[in-house]
Amino acid sequence: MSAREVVRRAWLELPQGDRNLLVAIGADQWQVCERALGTFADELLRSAGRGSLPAGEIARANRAVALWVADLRVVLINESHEAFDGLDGLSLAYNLSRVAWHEWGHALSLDRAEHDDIAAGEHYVELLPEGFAKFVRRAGYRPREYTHEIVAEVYSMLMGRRRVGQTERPPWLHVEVYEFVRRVVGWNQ
Amino acid sequence: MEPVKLPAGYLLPEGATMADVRRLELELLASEGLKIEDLQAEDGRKDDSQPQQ
Repeated sequence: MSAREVVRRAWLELPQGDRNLLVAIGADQWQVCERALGTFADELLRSAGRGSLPAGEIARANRAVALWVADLRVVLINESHEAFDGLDGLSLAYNLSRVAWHEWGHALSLDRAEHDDIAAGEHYVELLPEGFAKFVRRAGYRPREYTHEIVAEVYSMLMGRRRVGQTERPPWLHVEVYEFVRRVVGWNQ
Repeated sequence: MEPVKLPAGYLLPEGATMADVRRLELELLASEGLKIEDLQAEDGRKDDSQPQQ
């Protein structure tokens, strides 16, 4: 199955209410490509007359597996990113789905998280399981991005667990983080 | 014109891969008795494109 088809199916797998919400905020467009995403996003932004990204941001975004470009209301996924190397077919498809759900979670968070939520990012990181928290801290996010990253990754993991009928709070996820993510993404499974 | 909003990316720690993300998720799932293989299975997919009965 192609990466494009995997992402299309990941979209259809979202709960209807979540898809409606994403459509309502204009986050129902995506593009799967084989390019460094910072450079690509910069080209798209300039073509749309939105101006250019700072050089440092382009370099940073080039490291990304996927991007939510809020100004263009589009998710970009780099299926050729070396981080996907070595995964077998099923693992690759699952991880591509996880990445797509993650970015739709980003879109919801950026539109719906409130100022206090963003300010509480470091607090939420401290409540995460140790390995998860370490990953967020080491990935190079700015502290003001922690909240969005947590929403995106938790949402993506909730979607994965939903496949096996697990829609309640995962026991490893602090209730405060779960309730906060639920509020932001509208998770009511 | 408003300044361009910075894109929100899915970043990984230096040298990390999606296989590392998978290992992390596998550990969390295992702690509650779930297997990542079940989440990856094709027949585990739900299609919510049709209204529920």
